Amino acid sequence: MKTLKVSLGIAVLAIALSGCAPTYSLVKPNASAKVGSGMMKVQPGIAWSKAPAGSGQMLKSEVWTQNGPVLDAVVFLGPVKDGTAIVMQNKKAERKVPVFHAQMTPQDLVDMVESYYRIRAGATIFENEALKPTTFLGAKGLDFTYRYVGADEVKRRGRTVISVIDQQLYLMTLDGAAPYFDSAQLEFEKLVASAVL
Amino acid sequence: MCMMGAPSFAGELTTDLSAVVPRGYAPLDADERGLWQSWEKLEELLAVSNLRIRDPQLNAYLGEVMQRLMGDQAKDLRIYIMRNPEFNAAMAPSGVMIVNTGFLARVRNEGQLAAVLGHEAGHYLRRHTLQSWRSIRTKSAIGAFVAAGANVATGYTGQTTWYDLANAINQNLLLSVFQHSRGLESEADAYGFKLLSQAGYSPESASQVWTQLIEEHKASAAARGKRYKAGGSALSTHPPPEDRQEDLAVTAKLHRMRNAQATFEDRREAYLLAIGPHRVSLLEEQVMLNNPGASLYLLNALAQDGWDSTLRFSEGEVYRLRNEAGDPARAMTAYRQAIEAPGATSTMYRAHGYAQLKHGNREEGIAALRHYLTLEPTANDAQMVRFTLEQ
Repeated sequence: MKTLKVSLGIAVLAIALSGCAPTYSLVKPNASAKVGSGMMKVQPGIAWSKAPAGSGQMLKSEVWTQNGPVLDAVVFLGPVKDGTAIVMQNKKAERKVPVFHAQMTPQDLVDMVESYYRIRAGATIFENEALKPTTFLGAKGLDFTYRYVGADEVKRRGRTVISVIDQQLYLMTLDGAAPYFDSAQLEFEKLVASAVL
Repeated sequence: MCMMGAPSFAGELTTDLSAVVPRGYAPLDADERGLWQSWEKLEELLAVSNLRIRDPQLNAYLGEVMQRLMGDQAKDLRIYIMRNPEFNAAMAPSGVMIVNTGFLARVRNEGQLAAVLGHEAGHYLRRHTLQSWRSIRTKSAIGAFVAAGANVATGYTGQTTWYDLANAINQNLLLSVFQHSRGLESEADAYGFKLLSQAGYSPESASQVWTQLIEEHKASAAARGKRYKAGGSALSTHPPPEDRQEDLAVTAKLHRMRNAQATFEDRREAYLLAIGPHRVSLLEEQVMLNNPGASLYLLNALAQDGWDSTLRFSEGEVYRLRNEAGDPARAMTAYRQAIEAPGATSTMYRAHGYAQLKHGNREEGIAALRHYLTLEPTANDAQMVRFTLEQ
């Protein structure tokens, strides 16, 4: 009953609650902001709270939130090199998030994200809602929407956009409990549209 | 279904046990009443859980299997099928039975299903949870039951899942369900075997379940270059002790010898009929965890009854997710076998199409993806597939 051992707060993209007081910082609206490992830049239309560095589960990701990452979170990730996983994981871990490869098909990328949710968030219900092509960071990419129930049994939705540029993966995700997800969608779309390298 | 115990020599289980819990049983003393009250609160959470499978047909089917095992007394039980990929089931003293999808995914027939359900019924009919509760409470010297009751009464809402609540109320409450002593587990094995054999199921069903689980754990460890560790703990994914499997195998062998004229059945068709609508998602739960050693072992174990399109597709998915040298070709082969088998679905054609494109077999890949769109013109990824075809 491994997933049952997972305690409160496994919001997917998010924050391991610890005894230390996390230091959040303000992301000002209408100003260009470097995100992730600094390669991507976006321009938020509203103010966000930026979670402390290293709080996202994805490797070198950056997490922004409006109401706390358990309720809503935007995650920026990239670049991820060909042959690298999007998370830090033990070589001998029996369950491993599939490694990113530049030649992955759209279905491979979608399943890599789903596998991540199942392994890292204890999601046992994961339903794809829509997968369509998009333009992200000026390149052809994919836009993937889904709903899931994680180990905390809360219904959540997620939306991930991915582009593979020069053999490297760039990703933005919006994740949240249903009403928070809905209210953040428009701003997320603006963030995606504003994203540049 | 606890998984602890000291090693012992294999031997026949004592199956001439009688139930200590009669039909319509109500708790007798304060301890037991408190235990039941705690479980009433937990049952409310189970009933509304987002992870519960409510399919009336599947729930009714499990109820029918319990009826075959326990007769009228099965009406005292409430079964909750929960989405959880781990192999497990549990029995609360109040008659709440929790059955994980991870257990259903690993079962080949009704006999094996009945073996585990019978084991859980054994815990119930022999009042094991109360015994374990008292034992654990004594050992831990916590004695927090009064506090636990207060938490429930005040409507504790700080956690969200039934498990979280149980843990918050009192960890001993959980341990009393998931961690029985070796003696009680052995007794539940014996009682389960008694119910299994009385109902006419193949006596080997119980030992087969354990053998498969042990071998799956070995395969999982081997695939990641790890050493297999025998034994395990109740709340982990560790394997069960081999001595329980051996006891059940010996008991089955002797039972079959003594009943040489009897006929036994595994009711595989009945199981497949009931599980059919959920089989793809049950396997998907396992495969998407990307534990290739465990998944490939499981698929091969299930395929002892014959490969079909779902098993071949799942095999392809395992190789595709693992993506080590040679895996793309293995996945491609498996997907082809899936679409060539009866019952191939649109999803299998899509997987076949993408695999072919990845290998440069453009013509076949395009044909398969077009076929997918013909079967599913309004698929939620139709735009993406059309975009791929245009590249």
